[in-house]
Order: sequence, then C-alpha cells, then structure tokens
Amino acid sequence: MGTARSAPTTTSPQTCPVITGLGCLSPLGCDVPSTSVALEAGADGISRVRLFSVDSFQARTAGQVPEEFEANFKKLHGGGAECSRAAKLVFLAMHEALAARPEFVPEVVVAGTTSGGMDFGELFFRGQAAGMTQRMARHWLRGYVPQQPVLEAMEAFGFDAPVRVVSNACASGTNALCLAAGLVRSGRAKRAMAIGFDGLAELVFAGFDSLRASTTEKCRPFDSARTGLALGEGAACFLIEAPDDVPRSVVRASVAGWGFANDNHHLTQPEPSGAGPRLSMERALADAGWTGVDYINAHGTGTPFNDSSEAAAIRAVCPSAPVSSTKGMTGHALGAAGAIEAAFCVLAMEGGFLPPNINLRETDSGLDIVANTSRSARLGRVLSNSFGFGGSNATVLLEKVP
Amino acid sequence: MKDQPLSILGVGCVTALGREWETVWQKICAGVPPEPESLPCPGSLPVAVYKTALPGVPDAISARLRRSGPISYLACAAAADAVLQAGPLPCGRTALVFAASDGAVSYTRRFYEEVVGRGAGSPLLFPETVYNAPASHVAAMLGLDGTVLTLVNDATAGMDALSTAADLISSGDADRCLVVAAEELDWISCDGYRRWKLAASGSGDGAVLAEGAVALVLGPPSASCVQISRIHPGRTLLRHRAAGQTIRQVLAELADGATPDLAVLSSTGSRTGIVEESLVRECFPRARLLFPKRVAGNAFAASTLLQCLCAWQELQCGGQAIVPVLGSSGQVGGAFLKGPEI
Repeated sequence: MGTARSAPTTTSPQTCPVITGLGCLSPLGCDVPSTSVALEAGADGISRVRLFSVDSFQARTAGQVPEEFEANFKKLHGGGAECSRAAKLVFLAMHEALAARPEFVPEVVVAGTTSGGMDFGELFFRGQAAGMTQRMARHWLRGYVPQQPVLEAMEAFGFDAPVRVVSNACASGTNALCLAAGLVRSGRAKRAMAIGFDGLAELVFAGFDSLRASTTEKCRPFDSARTGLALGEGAACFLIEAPDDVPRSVVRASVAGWGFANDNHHLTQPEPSGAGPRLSMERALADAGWTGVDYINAHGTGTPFNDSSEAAAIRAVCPSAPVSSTKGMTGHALGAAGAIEAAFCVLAMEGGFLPPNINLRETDSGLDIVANTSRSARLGRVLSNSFGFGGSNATVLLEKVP
Repeated sequence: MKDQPLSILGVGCVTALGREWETVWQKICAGVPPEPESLPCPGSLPVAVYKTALPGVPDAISARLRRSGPISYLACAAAADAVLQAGPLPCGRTALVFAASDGAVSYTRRFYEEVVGRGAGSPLLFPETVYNAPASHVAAMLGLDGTVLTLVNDATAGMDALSTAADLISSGDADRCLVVAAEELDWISCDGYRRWKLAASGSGDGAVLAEGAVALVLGPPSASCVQISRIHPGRTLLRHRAAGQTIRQVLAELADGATPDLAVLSSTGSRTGIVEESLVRECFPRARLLFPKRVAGNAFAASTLLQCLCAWQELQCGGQAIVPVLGSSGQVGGAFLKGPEI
C-alpha cells in the first residue's frame, strides 16, 4: 500500500481480504438491490436541491438519496430529528451490511468522510446567532464532529470497537476501505468494517459553488464540453474479513490491492499531467501484482481539470480498459464517493455489466468510455480511483472471487 | 493487540508555552500555567484560552501558506522542526499522518458566516476549510508523495495517527512516518466547548483551551532510542456504568504486566480527568503522575502527542511510561513507551 513496498508482495484471491457484507445508499437507491438495478439502467439521480435554499448559488442541482431513506431510518432506528443526516446514512448502510452477516462484530471500524455531521454544525452556527438552549447547543456540537455518526450507529448496533476516521477530502472513502483491508491483510484484525459517508450540506455546496467547480447544467464526466461537477451524498459500508475465516458463499469480492499517492501541485487542482493518479494506480497494480484490469471506475468528477488529468493517467497505465465515471448518475459524494463507487464495482462484477457514463456527447479523453448505456461484460478485476483536494490520490483494486 | 514498536527520531512543537522544546518542558515541569487570554465570543460569554503566536515557517512553504489559517502554519512549523532534528527523510519512503480534532475551524466559521450573511462564500477560504489542508501543506513543504493521511477524532486522533504510523512502518509501506497533530482556536469552537462543558469555566475546573502543534518523526524500533512500544487500538465508552471497567482494561492491556515509572495523563482537571487520575493511581500506584494539559492547556489531538513528548523526555535515560487518553466523544486509548537500553 502507499509508497512502493520494500518487498512487494503479490497477493492472490486466496490471501486477499474479502468483502462479506455490503450496504449502500446513494442517489440511485436506498439499498444494494435497488442501486444495482438503477446503476445498470443508467438512472439519473441528480435533481434540484431540496434540503436547503439554492437561490443564491449558481448551481442548483445535486444527487440526493431518495427521500424514502428517512422513513426507513425511522422504521429501523426509531428516531429521527435527533440524528444528523450523516448519522442516518451511516446507520442504514451499516444495517444493510450487517444484515447479511449478523454474527459479524468488527474489531475496528475505519470511516471516511469530509464533513461528518455538517448539517448539525450549520444548526449550531445559526443557533449561536439566533439563540439556542444549552441542551440544543451540546446536541448539535456532538452530532457535528466527524466520528459521531459512526459512534451513534455502533451504539445502536451494540458493539464497541476502535474507530479511525480518515478525512482525506474526496479520497477518504477509498482510503478507509484500503486501510481497513490493510488491517485484515496484515493480521492486525480478523474482521474490519469500512464505511464512507457524507450527507449533502449547505456549507459544502456553497464551497464548490464558490470555486465554480459545480456545473449549472448536467454533469458530463469525460465529455469534451464538460462544465463541472454535481455534488452528491450517500454512504457505503463493507464488512471485511480474512478469507480463511469465512465460507465462500458469503464472499462478494476480494480487495486485491491498493495504492496511495500525493501530488504536491495545488490545494484544489490536480497536477495536469496526471502524475499523482498515475502513481496511485501504478502502486495499486504493483501491490496486487496485476498488469491490467477489466474495468476502471474513474473518479471522473466532470470538471475540466480532473477529467483531463485522470484521462492522461489512465492512458499511461491501462489504455485499453473500459472506463466510466458514475458521477453523472450520482453526483460527487465526496468522502463517501470512493466507498460508494467501490460498492458499484462489486455490483458490476456480480451483475456482469459495465456501468454507464451518462450524459456523454463527445469525448476528448482518448479512452474507451462506456458511453450512456451499460455494457454486458464478464468482469474479474476492476479498479476504482478517488482523488481529492490537497493532492490526495487513492486507488483500490477489487477482484471477483470464483 | 500486537506490538508494533516505533522509535522516536525527531520531535517538534509549537505551543502557547513556546516553540523550543526545552523551554516548553521546563514550564511543564514547573507546573505554573501562563495567564490565559480572554477570547470574546459574540453574543456569549468570553472563554479563557492560550493562543499561540503564528510561527515562522521555512521559505519553501511560506508562499503556499499565504492564504492559510493558523493550523497550517502551526503544523508546518512543528513538522519542520521535527524533521530538522531527525535528519533527512528517505525520499519516497516517508508517510505523513496528520491528526486533528477541530481542523481549520476559523476559516470554516468565516466561510459559513459569509454564506449565511451574503449568500455566497469566498473561494479563497473554502479550500482551506477541508480537514486535510494542513497535511497537504506539510507534504508540499517536504516533497512527500507517498501515503498522506488525515485522521480526525476527539483527542484520541493523536493515538489513531500513531497507530496508523505503526501499521505503515511494520507492513513495509514506509521506512519513516511523520506524525503531526495540530489545533487552532476560533471563538465559535471555544463557545461550543464552553457550552459542552469542555472548556474551563473560570472556577478552576477543566483545562484552558489551547492551540498548537506537535510533530514526531517515527521509525522502526531501535534499542538506542525512546520507543513507543505499544499503542492501544482504542475502545469506545458506550455505557457510562461500565466506563471505569473499560478504562481499567485499557490501562492493563497497555501495561501488559509492566510497572510504569511514569504516567502522563490526559486529565484536564475535569470530572472525566479526575476519574482517569484515580484509575491510574489505582492501577499503577508507584507511577509518578504528570499533567501537561494543566499547564499547556487542552489542544485535543495535539495535546495527545504532547503527552507522548513529555514521556519521551522523561525516558531519555531509561524507564517506562504509560500515556492514557480519554477523548470527549467517549473514546479511550493510549500508548506505552520505553526508554533506551543503557
């Protein structure tokens, strides 16, 4: 993982950590089955923002988890208003993952997020100006801190484990998955849980709008005339175990390898030649001992800078692999994106399809983009990229276990 | 819990007590806290704090930091000092793990203030609000292109960072790991902590909130260096009634039968701190106790590394120390350190 290993190890599906449980909420659905159907169909999960007023912003749309998730949360958890949006997403993703393997108790939880319970932070800020009770102030503050959604879900499910929270901007979800898998691969843990989450929040929406990174029309990853990203939200949860400890029937995929790299070019812009993403992909391939993949789920935000940099990196590393960005369907879920897209990769391998890159008219990427509609394909080895502010680059490789 | 020992090869700190470690250490030993500032909080009561003057940073990073908030300056300064002491880092084989509890809270507050006030925020502020902005500046300053991670949590974030560093080094992913923890203060976070009863109320309970940064350069174990020999992966105190038992268990697992000569506590003097102190006294009656937060204030994740730095200082001539951490979100962890073999 990360920097070139001093003694590279080639991993095989037999020794790689395996995913034995999966939960996913995204603008494409509130659970894994509905998400899989929408993913293959190329559904558009982006709509006008309904959570807060966007009248003062240039962008007006985002990917939002279908409203039914609130009812699902109330039904399964019993609560509602006392939990932040992120806490609800985390609870539901964890619930779905654990449902497949109720006996699973993680020895460690690794979470990835960029903004934690930001909606509660906003409430605290507004309450500070408008007046609030001491009780509400404390409640909002506790809910705001990034670890709190995970701690609340753990309490609801009745387990206690160390919690590590990665906040590496938009690479956080992939970092979390890889770090959790790393703890299992190294023998530090037999059972680890990884979760990536972020709820849509006004502050973050305003931030991307201020940078003019958000599009005012459709999000069109890898399109020659792309104009920017749409924000998204969601959560994905993975149960990760050592392969020897689980029956083959519960294994959904293995985590075959990963790579991290940091480019020191700029706080918000990627290095134009794609050096960081290239290094990240090369390190991941070396970590797994692979020379190629059957599919790449690109970071593909739809911003001019990201997509050109990433395309250059992919052309250099895996020029012939089919590529799609699913962010045209979901928007960019920031710290959750890497986890959600890794879940999409698992669903694509299980369903035998290449997820489509919707809203594409013409591409200048030089890549085999899966344009607009999904393709049938037998997928054994897939790669998912996540990049973020600060020059964070992370790549994870997933493999179908026969 | 598998031991993954680490050597401490270089240290750096920037605190309200000073930037020279020897000076900071003398003040901690003297046990006399400085006079706090009173930070006004609009619409609310002022909060007592220890602010830290913006430190000088190497020329290599000063231009990139011109739009950054205090936390990035603090992190870069502490990191630069630690690396200067440790010597050159192996190119391509050094990881960076940054830890924080609050992150760039001043820019976050200012940005949202603009959004609420005039419907849009400044694009100059927003990028610096992300938790990993300080890590990105430190990485750029040192030219680190490998694993760069930012971990957030309550004060246990410092321990999470040490544990991650141990994983990276023991698995062969890195030869060195620079661990940095930093916190900055803003009136909104201070007001929040006061309302959460985590800030000193003026009646002697609780530590003064502080800002600062601590950096450690870590490497594989070496008998001639102070070692972090064990890092507890952490527990979460879900049930208050069982909290004492859980903390006792963490302390026992950390010591693993050894008798530490020193315990560097996370206690701030709050009720939780009193519980920590009594349990440490009960488990390790012969250990000398040190309370750095009572002098240097509470800078959350940075204070956790400061506890380790105090243990490192005291173990230069041998001995053993335990460093427990109780976080505000109910998480507990810690480290066990050993002095060099003399």
